[in-house]
Amino acid sequence: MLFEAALADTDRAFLAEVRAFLDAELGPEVYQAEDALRSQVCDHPRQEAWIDRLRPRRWHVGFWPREHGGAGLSQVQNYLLLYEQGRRGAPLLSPLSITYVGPVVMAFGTREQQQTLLPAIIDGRDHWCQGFSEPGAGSDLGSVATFAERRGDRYVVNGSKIWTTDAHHANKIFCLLRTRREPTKDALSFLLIDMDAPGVDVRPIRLMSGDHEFNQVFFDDVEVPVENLLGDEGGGWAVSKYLLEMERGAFVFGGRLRRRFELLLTSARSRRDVPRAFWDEAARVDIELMAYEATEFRLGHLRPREQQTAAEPNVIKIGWTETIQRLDELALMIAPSAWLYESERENGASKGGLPMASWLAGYFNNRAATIYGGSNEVQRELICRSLRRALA
Amino acid sequence: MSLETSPECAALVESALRVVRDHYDYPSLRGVLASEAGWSADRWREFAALGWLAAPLAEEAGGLGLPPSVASALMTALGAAAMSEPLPGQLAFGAGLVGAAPATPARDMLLERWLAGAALVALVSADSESPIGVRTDGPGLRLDGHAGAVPDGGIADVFVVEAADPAGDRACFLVAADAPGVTRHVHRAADGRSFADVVFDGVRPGDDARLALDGAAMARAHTLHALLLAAETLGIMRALVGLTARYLDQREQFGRKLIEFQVLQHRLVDMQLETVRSESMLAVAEHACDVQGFSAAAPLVSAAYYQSARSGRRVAEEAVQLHGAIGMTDELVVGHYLKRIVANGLIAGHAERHLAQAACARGVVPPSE
Repeated sequence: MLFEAALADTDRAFLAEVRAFLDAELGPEVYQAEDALRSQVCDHPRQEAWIDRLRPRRWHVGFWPREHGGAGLSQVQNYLLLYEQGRRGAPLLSPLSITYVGPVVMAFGTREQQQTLLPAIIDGRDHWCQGFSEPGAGSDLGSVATFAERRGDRYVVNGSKIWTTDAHHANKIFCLLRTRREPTKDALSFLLIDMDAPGVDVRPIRLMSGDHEFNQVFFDDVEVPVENLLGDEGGGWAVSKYLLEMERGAFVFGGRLRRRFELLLTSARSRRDVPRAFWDEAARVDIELMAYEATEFRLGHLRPREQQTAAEPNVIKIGWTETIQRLDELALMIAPSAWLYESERENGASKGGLPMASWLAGYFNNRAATIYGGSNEVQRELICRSLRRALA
Repeated sequence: MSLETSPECAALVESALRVVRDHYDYPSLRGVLASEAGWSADRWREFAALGWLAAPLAEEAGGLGLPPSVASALMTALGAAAMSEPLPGQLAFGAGLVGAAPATPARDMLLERWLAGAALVALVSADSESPIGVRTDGPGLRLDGHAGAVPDGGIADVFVVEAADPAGDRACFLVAADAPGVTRHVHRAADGRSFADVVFDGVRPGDDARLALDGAAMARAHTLHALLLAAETLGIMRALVGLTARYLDQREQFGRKLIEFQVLQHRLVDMQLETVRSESMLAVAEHACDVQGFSAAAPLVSAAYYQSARSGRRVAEEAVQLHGAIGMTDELVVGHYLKRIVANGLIAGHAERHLAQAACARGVVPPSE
């Protein structure tokens, strides 16, 4: 990492421990499969296998406090752990359970919810998906319409959630939905629902690349016990806002992007037909990427979260998503027409670097990066608000 | 972590912000720029008294020996002034070059005056198409040649001349600007800084005029120069984002404040994102200079120099656009900022050349390319 010489001795010792662990545990069969991945979302069996290796050290929940079963890593140590894994090609862990559900349960859950839900995530028994977006509520999350009607000690849920990543793997879903008919944000609640409850139906949505990550989830008179409310009834907006802040601030993409860039260069060097414009562009992308790595560390992980005042998570979200698209566009500069029909198996990773056709699927899939997690237009709006606050 | 600001650095930055606040409102700066000298010698002595010249100078040369990141932070804090007083060149070639040369009586005497703010230096580099030549002539040496576009050349008291002998070997000499055989044609650059075309015609350097500086020492000083110019550009970018945000918040058209228009909000945010990008790249370069030294850090400084030139121009161009016609006038500081940013991307070598050097040194571009 870029500021390694500035690390405190304890952090440097931790980094050495992480590197020794990766030397021992992260074999070619793991990183080669990860390198060939077509999107940011990890495929499940490999992700679970990698979590099994992290679990003895609690490094899959590295930033969770010890009292909740995590490793209790400092912000800088958690950064080092995630950066180094990305740099070496370790599977990217889905944030849904670990980064989203865990922290909101710690912040808003009852003691009982904490004691049941958190260990189930740590042990790998629960896999969560996110029920936020709806056909009529995307960037404008506050206008969700899925309704949970209170009947005695249960809610009866009707409506639909969409763009639900991994709903076909998950056994639980957390939903932002409406518990009163008013169109206000204080009519929203945060409800935890079992995917195998009667009336829950998952239908796949194919991406333009042909991949299956998204789903639409339908709720037809689904009964949910009131104990499954997280936070207060009507308090769902606060829980969701907290979760979105975690979503935007908890990733480390610097190492992963740097690795991807180097794989692309390796591929390009093995070919004879690379235009000069590619190298000119690569030189610029290298520096932009370095600037992003530094931004991610300085703004996102160097200062404790409480001291972050401006729009750091929004700056970082725009940074990594626009950088990954720059990388994909760079790859397209050397795309032969065969990428349009070759499978990854056919053109393989024989020359080192990434199977070339996966760059094309990656390009298609990563167009989503500037849309999900709050579109980059929404992020710009939030940054503008912080600039205006600074004027006052 | 060393990424935190040291007390010495914080004190220097504080003094810089105070000087900018007290003396560098744009009408005052325009007054200085319009004066015959084009810069303020009084102010310069004040800078010397505040310890700005001593900051990056090695302790054995009488300075404070503070790391490069401190000089860089000082320049960033001074960015909003966009002054014509020649700090980047003086810190790089006064402290970084003359200050790094082994002591000689002539060098020590010059440094003492320089440190007091009483003498300025300018580097006449051999990295030009026709470097100044040095050859033996009778009992001594003589320098001949013509150097174009020497930064700080019009206001320098002493030139540091990097000359090449007939075999191509280089040597450095201190030559007083008023020495017999030296003539200079002084130019004021678009951003108010002083340049000169200098002619050396049979100039005889004094017996102890020679400085024992090698190419590596020269390269280190150039790296510091590029770092400081990038730092100043960053300071200007921050000022431009603030100015533009305030202007959009105050100017009304079509019955509402300009900042209410979403397209303008997003363009303002893009200016901020470019600024953050330059800030981060500069932080990487500063850190590398501090811990690895200028030689190893040179590719990262080139990267920061390129990034600040590119982002800086985008930010300044957008600032002009978002201000509208008033942004085109000489009366508003925005135009002066644009000129300074363009200048800063050229003075230490073109930013595109730095990009190519960084790409090559970092192994991004294959050697055959």
